[in-house]
Amino acid sequence: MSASPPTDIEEILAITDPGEVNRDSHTKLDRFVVHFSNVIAWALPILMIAIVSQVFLRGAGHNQAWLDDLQWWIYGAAMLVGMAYAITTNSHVRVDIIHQNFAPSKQARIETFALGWMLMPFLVIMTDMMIPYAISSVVAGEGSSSPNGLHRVYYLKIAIPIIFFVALIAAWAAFRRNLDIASSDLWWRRLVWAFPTIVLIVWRLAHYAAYWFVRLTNEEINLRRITREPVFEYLLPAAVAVVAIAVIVTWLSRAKTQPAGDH
Amino acid sequence: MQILSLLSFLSLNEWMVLAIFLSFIYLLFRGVPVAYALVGVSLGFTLLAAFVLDPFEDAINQYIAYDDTRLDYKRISANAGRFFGGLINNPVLVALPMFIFMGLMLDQSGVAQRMMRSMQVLFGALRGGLALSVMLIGIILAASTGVIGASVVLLGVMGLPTMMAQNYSKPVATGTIAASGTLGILIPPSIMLVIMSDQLAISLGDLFMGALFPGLLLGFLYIAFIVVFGLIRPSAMPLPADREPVTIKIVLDVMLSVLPPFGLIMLVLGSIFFGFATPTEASGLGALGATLLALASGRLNLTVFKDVMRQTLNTSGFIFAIFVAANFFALVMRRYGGDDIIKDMVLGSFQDPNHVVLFILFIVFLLGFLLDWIEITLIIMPLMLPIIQGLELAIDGYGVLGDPSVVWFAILVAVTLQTSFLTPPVGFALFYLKGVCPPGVTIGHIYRGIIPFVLLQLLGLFIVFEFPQLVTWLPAVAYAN
Repeated sequence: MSASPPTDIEEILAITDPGEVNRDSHTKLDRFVVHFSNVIAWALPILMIAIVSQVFLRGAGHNQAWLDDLQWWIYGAAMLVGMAYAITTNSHVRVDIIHQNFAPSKQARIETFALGWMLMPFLVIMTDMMIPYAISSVVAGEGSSSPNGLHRVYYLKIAIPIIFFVALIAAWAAFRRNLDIASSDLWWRRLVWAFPTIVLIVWRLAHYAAYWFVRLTNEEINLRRITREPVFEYLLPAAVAVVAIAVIVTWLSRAKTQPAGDH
Repeated sequence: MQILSLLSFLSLNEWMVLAIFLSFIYLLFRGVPVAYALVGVSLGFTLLAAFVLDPFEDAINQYIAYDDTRLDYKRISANAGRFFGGLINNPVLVALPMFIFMGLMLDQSGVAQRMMRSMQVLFGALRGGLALSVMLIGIILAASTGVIGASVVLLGVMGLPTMMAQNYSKPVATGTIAASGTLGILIPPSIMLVIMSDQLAISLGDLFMGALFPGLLLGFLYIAFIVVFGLIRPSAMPLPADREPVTIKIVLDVMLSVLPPFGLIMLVLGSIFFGFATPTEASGLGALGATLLALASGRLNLTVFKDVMRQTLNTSGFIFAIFVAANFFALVMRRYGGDDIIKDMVLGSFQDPNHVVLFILFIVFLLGFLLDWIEITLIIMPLMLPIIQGLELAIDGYGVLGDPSVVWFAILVAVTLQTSFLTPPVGFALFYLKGVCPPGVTIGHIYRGIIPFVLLQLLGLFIVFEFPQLVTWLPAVAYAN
């Protein structure tokens, strides 16, 4: 809520383009998310047309099962894009009774922490877990549950991790904007404020690298048993250590290039 | 470790469930967005379980009862199918963006202003006429805005200045606006009911039909109150000095302004009632209808259309984010045994099933002070569902309704939430209204104004509680043929 709410009826009802609010502060990544969402927004009128056509076609005795499937395909993809969009437009619901009285820098600090330690790790997990899900769907050549439905449901399942990745981009851009207000957008600060996110990414990448290394170097091994190899137990602590070292290294290199007392 | 045995009057799982809720509420009050807080708390307690509690289960059990969660990365990843099947492949939730689209488009069509202008003239001559106009617009447009803030702000900006100009008593004016603005979450097609039907696993059609009579009942109670109050205390709602005579033209004007939005609501509800369309399909029809209304009023151009669809994407996006986050939160909660803990706690405290229902409603009422309906329906309702189903309440479904007691319960919750949003010290509706009040109106006026409406709501809640037929009869009739 803004400090002085509009009091004119036309002003209240005047609809705004969410992607244009605070446009000045947007970076290229933010604009990418906004443009992407603006394109996907057209899915909503298409969804409307799909629903209405199905109602009338069925009324006329020409039920189109694929239109039923199309409806939740569009809905599912659009909702996820909306989630990413709302990160960029900063519209996620919050209780602002106390929050609205905080100083802007404190608000930015809370937001940075919430993005780096809560939302982004979750988005990494979602992206990571939806990829094998999509792959297994492609491998199985999964179709629709109804014989005349929209088959190749794996297209949708491939889209989901991609959209979660877009949400991650949106969160990263918002994270950097807020970090810049809270203190300054330096690499070591990014690593500290997004520590769990970075650790997760490093760990998962190391995990897949180790998986393929074992798989390609050990031909006898049972594929299901690869992740039981002892090396996988050490990957998470190693990832924590690597990111911690990265924090120290970036902090030291910052100390050299910038005068002391610059916080 | 010794300190744990001091806490052993509850099991560690129970302490953890308590800690999960408290840390969630703490984060909320720091201003962390709800969705982020939900996933943050879930991640934190997953780490705690995986690295601290589960590995030392045996050691912990010497001091305090602890049942391991077995939460780890693999178990969380295994949730992919559940996420896809529950949230993406969900034909009922398709109605969500469509109803939001319909509401935003309806706002753009300018029907609200037209109704206000014409009704003002017609009812101007009547005592309490302005209050009645606001109330009727609130009821008719209830559909358009599921979000409490939006409808209260809309009605406040539209109705309050006129009521002030006509020297209405400030409490009456503000109470009317706050009360009619919150009707939107109950009267179908409300977005809250769409989410409720998903979370409680009941038919959306049943819920829409079930909510109709209780919603109209509340509307009727409000209107009756305004008429009676106007008779008892004429000074609170004075008549305008310059009254226009009521002519046929004015009546016709009102009819013309009310007909389009009213027809749209009838189209949506009627197509469900007569089985012509599913609620999801009705939402598509409603969205198209609202677009045509906006087109007919000449206010629709490409820019407005684009803005409406972008705003729809944005709004449904932040609601969906809470869905996704609550899904994860529920998983962690379940692994800690939270579902059973809460169920046993509520069921163990009461003998009479009716007391259980009243207790839950009281909890919902209290939570309504802190949280909006989106969070309450998505976080609390799934926890309450097994409790209600376990009660075996004797609610008559006329042999047609699948889950009559759950439908009845959902409507009770909806009415309770409305009351909660209207009740000081932290009713949502009151804050939003204060935001658009002209300088002379204080929060004290608003508090005094809503007292009669809160009492009426409690009366309405009591009636629905005592006569479940109000809820179950209409859906039973609608689906019997």
